[in-house]
Formats: sequence, C-alpha cells, structure tokens
Amino acid sequence: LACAKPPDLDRITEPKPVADVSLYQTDELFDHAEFVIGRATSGDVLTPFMEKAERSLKRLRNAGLPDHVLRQYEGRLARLKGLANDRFQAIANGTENIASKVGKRGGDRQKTLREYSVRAAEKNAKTAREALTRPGHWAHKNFKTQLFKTIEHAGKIPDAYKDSLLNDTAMLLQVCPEAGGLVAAMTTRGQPRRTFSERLDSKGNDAVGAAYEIMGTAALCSKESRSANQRHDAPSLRIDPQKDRLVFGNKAYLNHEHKGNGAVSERKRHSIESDAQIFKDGREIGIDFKHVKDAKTKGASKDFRNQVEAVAGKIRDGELSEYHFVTNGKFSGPFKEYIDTVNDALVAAGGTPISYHEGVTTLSDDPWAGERPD
Amino acid sequence: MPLALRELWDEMESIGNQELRARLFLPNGKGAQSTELALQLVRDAVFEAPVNLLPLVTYCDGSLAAVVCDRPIDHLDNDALAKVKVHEVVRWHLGWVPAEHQAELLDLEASDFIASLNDELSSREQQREHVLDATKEYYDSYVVHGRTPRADAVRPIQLACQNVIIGLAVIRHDQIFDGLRVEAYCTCEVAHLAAGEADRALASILLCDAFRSGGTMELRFGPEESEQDIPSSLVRFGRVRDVELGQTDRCSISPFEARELFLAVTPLRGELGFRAFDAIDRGVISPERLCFSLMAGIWNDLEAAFILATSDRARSIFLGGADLGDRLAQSAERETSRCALLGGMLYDRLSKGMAVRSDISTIQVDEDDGAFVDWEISDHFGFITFEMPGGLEIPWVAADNLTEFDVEKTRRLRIVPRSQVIQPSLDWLAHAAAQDDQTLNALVLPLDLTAPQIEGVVLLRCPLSIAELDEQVAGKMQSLRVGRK
Repeated sequence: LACAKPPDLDRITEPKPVADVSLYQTDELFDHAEFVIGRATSGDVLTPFMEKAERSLKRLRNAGLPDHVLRQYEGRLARLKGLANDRFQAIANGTENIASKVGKRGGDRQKTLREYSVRAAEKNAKTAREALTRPGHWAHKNFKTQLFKTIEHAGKIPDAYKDSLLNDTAMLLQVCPEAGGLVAAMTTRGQPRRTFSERLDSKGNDAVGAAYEIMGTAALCSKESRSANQRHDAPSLRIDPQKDRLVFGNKAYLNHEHKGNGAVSERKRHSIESDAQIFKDGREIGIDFKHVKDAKTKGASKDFRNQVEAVAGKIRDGELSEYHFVTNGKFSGPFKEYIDTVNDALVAAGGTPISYHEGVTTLSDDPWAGERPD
Repeated sequence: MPLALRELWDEMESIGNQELRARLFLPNGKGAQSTELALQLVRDAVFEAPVNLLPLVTYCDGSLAAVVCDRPIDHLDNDALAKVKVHEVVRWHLGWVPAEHQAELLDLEASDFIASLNDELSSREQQREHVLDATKEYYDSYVVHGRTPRADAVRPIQLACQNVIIGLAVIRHDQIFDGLRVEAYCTCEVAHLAAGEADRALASILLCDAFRSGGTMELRFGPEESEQDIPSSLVRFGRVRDVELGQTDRCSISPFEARELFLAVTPLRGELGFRAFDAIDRGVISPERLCFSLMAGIWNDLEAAFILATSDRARSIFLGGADLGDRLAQSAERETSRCALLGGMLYDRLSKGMAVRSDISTIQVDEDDGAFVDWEISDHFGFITFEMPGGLEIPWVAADNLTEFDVEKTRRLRIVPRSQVIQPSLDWLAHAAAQDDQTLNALVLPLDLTAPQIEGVVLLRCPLSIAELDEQVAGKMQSLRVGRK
C-alpha cells in the first residue's frame, strides 16, 4: 500500500485552483452538441443545444477573454451551425436516417419510411416554424434560403409574397406538419413521394402559384371565407387548425383507375386534383388554389371544364363532400358562369354546389389581386 | 428546520479563506463569482439543472455544488429570495455524465457543507506539505535501501486516477493505542470521478491497512504531539452515507465507527449484499474481514458470494482455512474455493469480453468495452446463472463444443463449476438441459479434468489445472491469515 515512487517533485504538477467553469461548460457543451447533432433524428433536438451554445459564447464575450480564445469559440459555433443545418436538411430529406435504419435492421424499408416520416415531420415542424418566424434562430437564414429556393424553383416571386411566405409556411406547418415535404420526406401509405420542389418542377406551375398554395392555406386557417357564388347557396370554407386534418402536398387524383394487374393508372384528362384536402368531421373537402397570375391559357380552360365536371361527378357519387376553388383576386365571368351551370345540375341531383372564393390572401394589399383571365 | 437562503448567504459572506471565497457564488459577486452567472451555467449545462437548484460553489473543474431550494429560483429578486428555504447540497455536472451520476448528494445541510469545505481547503496545503516531507524520508530510508517498512513505520500513500492525484496520506501503526495513526490526509474532487470517490478510496486503503496491522481498527488523525480533527471531507463522506464519525472523540474514528465506515466504502451490490449481511448478522464473518477480503482483492464479489452461499465452512475460509491437521475440513474448503475461483475467473472474462480461444495467445482488454453481466448463485445446487447481453462470446469453450450453441442467442448461461466430476452434478445438469431450452448449461472444469459428454451441456475448460488453482487458493488463504485471527 505504501507509495514507493521516488520524490521526484518535478514530475508532479503543482496543485492549482479550480479552473474557470465557464470555459469548461462551453467546451463540454460544444462537444456534446456536436455529438447530439450528428445523431439527431428530428429538428427539435437541435434547437436547445444551439441556443445554449449561443448563450455560452455570449457569456465568454462578456467575461473579457482574449480575442484569440474568443475567435476559437466563434469558429466552433459557426461549425456547429453548419453541422446543425446540414443535419436538419438531411432529416428533412429523410434519406440519411432511413438509409442507416434500413442498413442496421436489414429490413423493411417501406415500414421504416412510413414510421420515420410521420414522426420526424411532426417533430421537425416545430423547429421549422421557429426557424421561419424568428430571425435570430440558428436555422433561420438557412431555412429561409431553402424555402425560397424550393418555391422559386420555377421562377421568381415578388418580395411582398416572400415576406408573408415565412409566416404563412409556419402557419401551414402548424396544421399540417408533413406539408408537402417541406420539412420531412413525403410519403403516402409508406410509399416515398416526390418532394415539393420536384412536384413543382413536373407540374409546370410557376413559382408564385406554389407560393399561393401556401398563402391561401394559411389565410383559410386564420379566417373563414364566404363563397362568392351568386346563383347557389354554396358552403363557406375555413380550416380549423385544432380539429381538421389537412393534407397538403400529396396531390389527390380522385379518379385514378385501377388496372387489371392491381396497379393504378396514370392521371388522365378527366382527373380532378386538389392542392389541399381537408378532413372535417368525417367529410372530405377538396381545394384547388388558382393564383391570378397562374394562368394557363388555352389548354387550361379545357382542362378546367373537364375538372369541374369530374368534381361534380365525384360529389354526386359521394366521394367528395365539398369542393372549393380559391383565388387571391377575382375569377373571370366565364369561369363563374361555367361553375354555376354545372352547379345547377348538381343541386338538382341533391349535391353540394361547388364553391368559389375570391380575395383569399394573407396580404392586405396583394399586388396581383386582379381578375383571373380564365 | 430548513435554513433560509439569506442566512446561508450571510454565512458564506463571512468566510475568510481566500481559496474558497474565489470559488463561491454570491448574489453580489462580480463576474465569474456571481450567482447569476452560475445559474446561467447550470441552466445551459449539457443537462439543464432543475429550476430549484441554486449553485453555491465551484466543486471541481467541471461541476458546481448547488443547494436544493424549496421553490423555483427564476430570478434573483430580493423579495422572492427572502422566503426561500434551502435543503440538501447536490453536485451538478456542467458536461456530460451518465444520468445516474448527475445530482449526487454532497451533504445534508448547506451550512455544514460550506463549513466543511472551508476546513478542508484551509488545511489542505499543510497536509500536502506533511505528505511531501514524509515521502522524502520514506524514500531515503526505504526505497534507496530496498527495504520493506514495518507496519509502525511512517508510510506515505498517493492515490491517483487517470494521472490525477486525488488523495494523499501519511500513515503508521501506532502501538500506543493499537490502531492506525493518520498523520496527514487530504483529498480532492475531480470531474471524472463520482462525488466523494477520493475519500471512499483513500478511506478503504486506510481501513485495509488498519485491519492488516492487526490493531483495534481505531484511526486517529494528526501527528501524535498535535492531534487533529477527523478530516472534514471524510466526515462529510460519512454523513452522506449515514455514518457519523467522531461521535466521542473529534480526532478519532472509533473501532465501531471504523467498521461502519468500512461497510460504507465497500461496494456490496446485489446478491453479494444479501449474502454478506446475512453472514454478518449470523456471526459467520466480521464486517471488517469481509470488507478487507473484497477491497484487498483477495476474493472478488462473485467468489465471496459463492463461498458464503454454498459452504458451511465460509467462516473458516475467510479466516484463512482450517488447520493443516484437519484434512477433511481442508479438503472441503479447497473444493469450495476452487469452484468459487472457477466461477469468478469465468465471470471476469465474460464481463470484460475476454473470450480467449486456444489459437490466441494474448488479448488486449479495454475497460470501457466491458459488458454488464448479472449473476445469481443457487446455494442448494451450487450453480451460477449469468444474465448477459446477446452476442457475448463464451470463453473456455472446448473446440469440439463450438457448434453446440448459438452465441448470438445465448443470453443466459448456467454454469456448474466443479473440480471433481461426480455423478449427481452430471445428472442434475442433464436434467436441467432437458427442462430449459432458453438457457445454455455448462460444466466448468479445470484443465486436467475430463467429463463424459452430456446432451445439451457445453464443457468449459479453465486454462488452469487443479494444482494451479490450489496454488491460487493457497495464496488467498495466506493473505487472510496474515494479521489478525
């Protein structure tokens, strides 16, 4: 038990007072944050650590540490932010974790996708909302850039829309966390679907039309829109964030037909589509957003007529409870006239008339709220 | 009656020791010594502290000592703070630690904690100098000449963990009171060790030495000519573990207190605790003898529990074995000891991931790679059941048994360690294997024994022969015979 070491005092460091715990705390926090970020499976795990890291650095600045020490910690924080943003993006894309999970378990990729996507979307939506609405948030800049990049995939949107879009997207994510793959990989019944930007690309929408889908949904969440139908008593529209279930992003092609081999046929001329679907008290309601600048001249008119007739058919068959056309400006006379004509027959058959809503926007002064040239 | 926070702060304000003052957090403190900063630190720690924890003092380089308040401390508002009462003191780590080590209890009362910390820091430098002087003398007298010191010689002790010295002491057996005189004692806390671990380890060394020296187990502190109080950190350690030290004499840990302290510093986890306290209560073994045999590494946890559970001669084994003339008793004790040793060695290898195959001559053991292996002893049949994580390789598997079981699926291993192959053991094993297909049953034998193949039973062969096992057993018995009887 006795100590047999020679008393070589030079080899023993003299005791010293306890070190500055602020530095220790910051070091440990940064190390742990890096560890956590590398393994995070949802955005809300990242936020507390990033906030703590920023506060720790602020304390070090106030403590009057030498510049070279501060610069070192500033560099580490910048690195953490970069890691967090990369990780958040990876979570949003859903690829990294899904791949690792599948690789680990060696199993059911579809099941993993389904379980992962829904849970991750719910968790990420909170972080994404904070990032969108709080300019000081660690992911604000990156998330804003990503959102605009996604929306402006097919063109520019006006600055007025950009300002509003951040809050509108936050509102949308509150109602629909998995909104269109904005914050998580999009799946339908476990099957992977395209991301929001991929959909925009293939649909041929222009950017402002996509932005209006988000803006219109947000506007309907905050206030009720009365229908502009003159000839019929058409239902008004409101999305109740607390009660209604909103599906946004996954296009609903209600008249897809099943082929003989069990597969679903591609979209056809008589397809109807909803930009958003609401499930309200067990009823299914479809919404189609029409931005006034989102005009598709010739073909669109014929498509539009086909769509309205198909919608009326689905309402008559009971597959749809209500259907609403929503715009930020005003619909053209022929547009309204055509819907009224179809509604005549629909009401006579006991169906709910198709509604159209005008001036639905979150902007007090929409620069493009003119008449839709349809 | 809980102390008011204001009173505690007043007590802290009156502290004169500069080293401690520099570590205190006070509401009117400046910069790094302000309570406000400390609150921010614990709230922004890797694990955010509860809202009713108020930091008092820097405990070590990586943790703060914080007092548990009776209400949340949201902001340092005078009116609100006037009503706050304080309770225990706990340790809050600023970095990552396993959850079970967060908020370890440091003291039962905040004012006692501050006072004991003050005493500890005030005397530390003096104690350290005493140790350095004693080390020089020891070097000149013993190390240079290659002599072994007698028990009553002054011996310095240095305790280090991961290259950090956490404890220093100077001891000698004092024949005047037939106990251990601790001339100097100082410890310190470090972030990578549990709270009080330095005191626990140093106290166990002192108590082992006191036992080995054959005295009364009394410990007195300070040089003979100027005795000192029991070190504050040790008193605090005892207080937290419900062992009150220095009840009759502030400079002495009485034999009774020493026994209590020995039990407090010796980990007696799980089944060992049950077996140990049962044996102590029945008078089979004294607490200090059991603690000594465990802390000095003579028997490990499983071996000690196996002996206590399966042998009527446990008392004699822990006393160092029967007299040479009593051959029957000696034979029985040796058989029990060999079986305990076989089980203990297998447990060591299982828990450290040391699955040695015959084709590998050396292996590297990494402490951090160990797996948690739980064990249970059947006192009636003398078998040991290990519960372990799947995928653990089983050591000592005979080459012809390799295909008999699936390593991945083996989560429960039941071994029958024997140094004699007797038919009842084989019958019992065959019966157990037939009854339970969820458990891997194994017969563990020394290297030079063979046994008939039993269906469903794996043969594990220890790399030591009976003679080598006996040599180890004799060494252990010898260690226990040294000193008191």
